[in-house]
Amino acid sequence: MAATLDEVLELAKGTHALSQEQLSRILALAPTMDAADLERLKTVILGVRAAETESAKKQLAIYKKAADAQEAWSASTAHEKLKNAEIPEILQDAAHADALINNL
Amino acid sequence: MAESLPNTPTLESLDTVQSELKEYQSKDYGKDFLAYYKTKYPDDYKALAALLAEDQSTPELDAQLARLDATLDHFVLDKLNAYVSHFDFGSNGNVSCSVENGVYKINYWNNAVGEAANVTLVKKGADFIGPWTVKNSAPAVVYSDLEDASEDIALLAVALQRVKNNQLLSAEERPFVMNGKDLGFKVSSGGVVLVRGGSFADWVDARDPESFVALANARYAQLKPKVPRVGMGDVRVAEATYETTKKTELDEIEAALPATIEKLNKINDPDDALRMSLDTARAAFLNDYRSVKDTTASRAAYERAKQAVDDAYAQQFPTKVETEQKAGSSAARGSSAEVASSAPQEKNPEPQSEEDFITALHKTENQGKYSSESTDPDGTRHMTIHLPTKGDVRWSRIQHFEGKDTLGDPTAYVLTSGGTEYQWGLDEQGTETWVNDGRRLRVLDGTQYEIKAKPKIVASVEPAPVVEPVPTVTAAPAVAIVAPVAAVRPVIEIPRVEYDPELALDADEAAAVAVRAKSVKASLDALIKDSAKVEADTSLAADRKAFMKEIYASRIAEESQQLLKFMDQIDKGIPADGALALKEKYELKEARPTAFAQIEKTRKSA
Repeated sequence: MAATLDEVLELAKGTHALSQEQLSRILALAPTMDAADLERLKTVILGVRAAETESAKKQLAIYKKAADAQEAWSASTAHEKLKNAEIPEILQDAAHADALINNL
Repeated sequence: MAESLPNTPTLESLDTVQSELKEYQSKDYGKDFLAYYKTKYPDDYKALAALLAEDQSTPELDAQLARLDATLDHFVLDKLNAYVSHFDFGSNGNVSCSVENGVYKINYWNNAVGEAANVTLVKKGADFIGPWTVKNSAPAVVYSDLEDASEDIALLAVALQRVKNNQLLSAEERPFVMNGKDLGFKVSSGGVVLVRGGSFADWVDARDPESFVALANARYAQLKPKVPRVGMGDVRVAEATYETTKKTELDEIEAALPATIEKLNKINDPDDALRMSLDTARAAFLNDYRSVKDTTASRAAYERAKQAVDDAYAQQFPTKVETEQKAGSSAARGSSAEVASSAPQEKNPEPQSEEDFITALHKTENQGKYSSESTDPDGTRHMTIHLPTKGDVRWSRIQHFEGKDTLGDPTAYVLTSGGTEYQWGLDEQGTETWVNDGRRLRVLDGTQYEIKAKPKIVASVEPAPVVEPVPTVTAAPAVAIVAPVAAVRPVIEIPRVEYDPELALDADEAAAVAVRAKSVKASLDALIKDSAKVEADTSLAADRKAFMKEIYASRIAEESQQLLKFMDQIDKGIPADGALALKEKYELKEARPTAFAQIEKTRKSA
């Protein structure tokens, strides 16, 4: 089915990768296009959209990997902190025990 | 045809990925983690840092966005090229459109100047066509605002459609109408020339499209009797002619109106029937006039209404009419006082028929009853008609007063009445009488005219009809132009020119050479076309034709050599597999064969 003007404009507006200037050009020119030109424009916008989706998926992968790394890093850091936080307590307990023994 | 795309995303799938992405984009990683991440996973850190710096482009996305820009540019260029194709540059030059950095340009190659000159088109509405300026300077900007461009393109499309449908154009649309069969613009080194199928050319100021069109219409009207009508131009010829003739008609009616109204105000017209009839007829005429319709019927109705007023006045105020006639009579009429003192019916009983009227006229004309007369020393006769009764008016015809009976050969005379000249000829009904542009002089009570012999010299100084060239000269037979090239092409061996990295052109250089090559190619095509026209023109004298062919052959040889030079630069400077080559070389694929064919032709004829 041939592309309609509304369809092309909706597609363009929903394509975040388009610059403001590109969107303005499409909004200005599309109403003067015939069915064949609209179809061609729709195809090209879909191409932009496909590339944009691929790009977004790649970005998502990078973010997810970093997020996983951060989670692992945070967990290990917390354990280390906990460990570091326990040592004074143990030493304090030991000192307390030593003091009790000396007082015997 | 739409290209197919694998894995084309739907609106929903991209939106889902985008919303998920947003959660991560707003995440705070903290500098300790980033320091750790950088050390532990340097590559992943680099990718993340680029995203955090908002550098989200990918080569694929960049390529697709560039493709979108190119598609939009291509669309506008197509429209601009379609637009400029309506200009007839003849052999003076040619025009091409290009886009650079989002700015559209129309480049004009001027053969007279011998280098690329530029044509400025301003972008809005009626000014779209002008001003044209031809300069040897940097290319001029045509459109920087695509919204404006799209408006003009849409307007142009509508105008062209209307022309195709042979409809009248609005003033705003008219400047768009140009092609070889109609109004055209020819740009030469000095400015813009208006052409109509090559049959005439006027220098005009194209900065004012309205006056431009007016001039064109006036010129058409002037040429109307000599130039056959074709196409859209005829509509405008008819329009211009209508304006001229009908305006005169309207002026005549309006000029006579006050006298008629004065009569209406004096006569007894209890139901205002005469006034209403006159008003209605005048309104109908004005309506036809303003609607550019045929006014013959409404004008006749108006004349009848006016005549009814005149008749009523003459009937109700016979004495006054007589007095007015006396006042207008010349001193030559010595017995006027006696005539005025008598009742007209007694002096001139109403004739029962036209025949009676003519008999009475002939019987009494020498007594000055129906006309008074004086004669100047040069032989010019001044006449005033006296028709005191309704019957006299009804039967009066100017040919009864001045015609073959009195003048012998009326065509040797010119009659002037009310500032209008009448010649002896046939009126709308085919009756021989005094006419102006087919309309006979009406004879009413008090009509004055003068009649004098035409000076003999007048006939000898009548301008000889100008023989205009037949306007179909622009419609050159395509076969005659194309055939010679097509016929010789297969037998010419065209050497291949390979890409040479040492002579490689960068994108800007390649584009510049391509523009020049295209200009020369267009110029060469125009020369070949014009040369074929000369060849086919049977009206040219043999020596003139030989001379012109020689000139064309020389120009064609020069242009062919020039084109080959540019083609060498392109073929050596642009790799065959590059995107630029696909575009430029494709557009110039006919250039080298054409140039070779012409060079071969020149060589053989030499």
